[in-house]
Amino acid sequence: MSKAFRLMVIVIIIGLSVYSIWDSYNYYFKLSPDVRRIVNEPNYSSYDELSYEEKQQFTTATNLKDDVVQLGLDIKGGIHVVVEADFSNVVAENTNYNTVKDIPDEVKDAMLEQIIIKIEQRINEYGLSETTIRRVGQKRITVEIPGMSSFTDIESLIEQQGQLRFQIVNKELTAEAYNYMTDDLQLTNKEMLAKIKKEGCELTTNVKSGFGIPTEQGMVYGFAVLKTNIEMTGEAIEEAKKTFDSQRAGGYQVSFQLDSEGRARFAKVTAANKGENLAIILDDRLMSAPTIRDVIAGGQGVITGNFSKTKAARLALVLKSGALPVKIAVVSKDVVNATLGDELLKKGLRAMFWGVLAIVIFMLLRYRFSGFLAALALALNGLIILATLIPLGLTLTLPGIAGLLLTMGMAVDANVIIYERIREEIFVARRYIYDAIGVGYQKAFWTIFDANITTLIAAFILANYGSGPIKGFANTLFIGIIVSMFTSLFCTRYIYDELIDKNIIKTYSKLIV
Amino acid sequence: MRSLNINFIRFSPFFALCSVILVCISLYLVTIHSGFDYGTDFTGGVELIVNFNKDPGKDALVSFYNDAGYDTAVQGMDSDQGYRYIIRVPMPEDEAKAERVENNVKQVLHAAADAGKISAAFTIVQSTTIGSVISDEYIQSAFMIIIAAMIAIILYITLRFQYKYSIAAILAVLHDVLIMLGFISLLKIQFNRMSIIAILTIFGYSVNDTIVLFDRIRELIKENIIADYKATVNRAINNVLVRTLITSLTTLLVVGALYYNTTGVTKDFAFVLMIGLLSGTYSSIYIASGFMLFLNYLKNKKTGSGANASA
Repeated sequence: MSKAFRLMVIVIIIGLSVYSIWDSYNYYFKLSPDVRRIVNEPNYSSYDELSYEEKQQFTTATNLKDDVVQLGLDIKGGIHVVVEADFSNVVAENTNYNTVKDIPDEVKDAMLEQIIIKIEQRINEYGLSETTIRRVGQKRITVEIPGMSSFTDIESLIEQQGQLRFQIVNKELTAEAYNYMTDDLQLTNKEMLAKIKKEGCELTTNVKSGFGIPTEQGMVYGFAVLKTNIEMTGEAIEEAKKTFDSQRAGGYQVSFQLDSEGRARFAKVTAANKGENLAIILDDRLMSAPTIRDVIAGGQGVITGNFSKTKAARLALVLKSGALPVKIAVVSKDVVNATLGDELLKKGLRAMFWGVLAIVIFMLLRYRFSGFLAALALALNGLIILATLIPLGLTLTLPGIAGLLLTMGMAVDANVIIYERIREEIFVARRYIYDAIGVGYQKAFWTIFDANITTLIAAFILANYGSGPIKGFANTLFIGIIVSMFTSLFCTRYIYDELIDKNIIKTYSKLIV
Repeated sequence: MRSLNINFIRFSPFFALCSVILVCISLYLVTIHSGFDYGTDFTGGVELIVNFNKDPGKDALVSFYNDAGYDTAVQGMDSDQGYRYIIRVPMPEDEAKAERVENNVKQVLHAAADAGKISAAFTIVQSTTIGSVISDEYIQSAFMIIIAAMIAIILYITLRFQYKYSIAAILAVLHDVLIMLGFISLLKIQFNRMSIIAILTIFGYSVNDTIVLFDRIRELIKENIIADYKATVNRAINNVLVRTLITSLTTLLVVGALYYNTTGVTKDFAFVLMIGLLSGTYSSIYIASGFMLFLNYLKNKKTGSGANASA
């Protein structure tokens, strides 16, 4: 390779790195922290707090924020939730499948897709933007909401299936079953159970506490017998919102409005069942069963159930987005306060500063001019690693910073191997310095290569089988090793060759290594 | 010149004995004595990081949780803002407690505050909840990672050197990993995913050191200047010694900086790395080369050609 070509490669790589990192530099070091904070807020809600100059910066910030080094949630704070879909109901409802494994991937994919859309809708309507919802594997979805840490009860918004059913209560059987009910709400009488089944009814003991069914026996609490026929589902709901509970002062309920098809259906059902009780079942739990006094033609109704204000508001969102096709459950959840992330980031950067400073001082003391080259290579390492994160779409997390730091410590290793070899060639083999440099690089090459490959293998395995912090660490370590081989074997070599050609090496040979 | 010539090999039997003893102690600690304090990622459950404006006392925090029927491990943490504690509650076996476990665990703190047992104001700055499905997977993937790394590295070294080199390298690595595990167990450091990172990093690092040494042994054998295998190995150790020590030093400098400037999980991570670095440096000099010498000794004994024949 000619020297001109090598110089070109180096210049191009440095140029691309600076170009890639330039926006991040402006974003993180030139903009006011308030602008950075607000540009990441849902709906830019505190925009008005900004001063005039800051508002000027705001457009720049909105343009830049997606093209800069992205910080992980552990640094900028936020909520990270992993939910898992439970397909067992699909198996129960479809006779073609015996186990969850029988469900074709397309069916699962479609369901997960639907879940993602609905969760997104719920979260957006709640007023949170910038949310990332991603599918992971065959049954999991991750939800990331940056910047939020006060909103701790996110589960109720994400997890609730929101399956609403309307069924008619069989009051006679409810009253009759009451006589056989044990104190802990078990019905063991076989004849009674058989009768319920024969009449096309089902027993439910999953009843919202405090709610009772009026029967001839008086109020019955804790269970009900329902006709199995589903009169209507929540799919027909067009609009839902929280309203004040008419029965309970200070309480809330959810009022809903049905679409045109639902209105017709609701009118028909209420006309046919005047005087009966209409059970409203949410996610398999009986919420209430108001008595139908008249035909309801407007398609309006309420769901009561001792809701608090936030519960009612969230249920309204859930009902509006529609039911999730299958049950999902939160399997892991991380909530990080941004102030903690800030503090840990500062500590990490401080560690990086002192660590790198210590290495540079040591290298200068031991290798003089070559130590300076090693420091230069180290700086170049940092630049290229950070610049590479952006196009690869990798986020910088706290373990990632630890990986970066460790890479810095190990990156000088390649230089150390080369320099020690050069010294050996000079002092033991008694070569002239320019010979020694050439031979040193040549002999060191395979050693460095073999030694780094093993760490690369370890990093690769971590990145592939690891999760969360392991991935973040492994990513920077992996990139770091490759970059450090480039800077130590290619970049510093070029500088030496240049110095040899210019005869500088010979003049100052005592200062070189 | 200042070409080093220390007779490392002379001390080989002594250090081999030391290593065997240390590894045995580690194994005893890990398997019989105390095992590990597993982190929340492996036990499932809840981990809270809480800032208090006055120190509530670690024992008080532990007692709140024990009184409410939860296992817990509480650890103090350096902080710029008041007093900070990590409260770890493994996934309770009691189903009622496991249901909505995050709320339950937070509730214990709020209840203690309501009852006037905590006079300090506090903020929960981080909360992590890990269900048992996920923690089981983390454990599985940790095993996968370690095994995959071992196989990959054995394959690579066999490819580039010989299989006996790869066995020597793996022995050295196993030695380092066991020493690290011993310290983790002895000092009751949380064993979590960061520990797995530390182990794998040292894995790569230690093999790296060993390879540099093997590379030099191979080179010296090829040059065929020294007939005696023992002397060859000794010369190789001397030749790479400075590099090995300097690299350990530079890496220790950054890991030390990490240790002094960070707190909590990252500090533990840095500490385990330091142990591993020291062990890795030592093991590449003594364990890997010692094993190679041992193999050579066996070979010579078999052929009956005297103890110091060339390799």
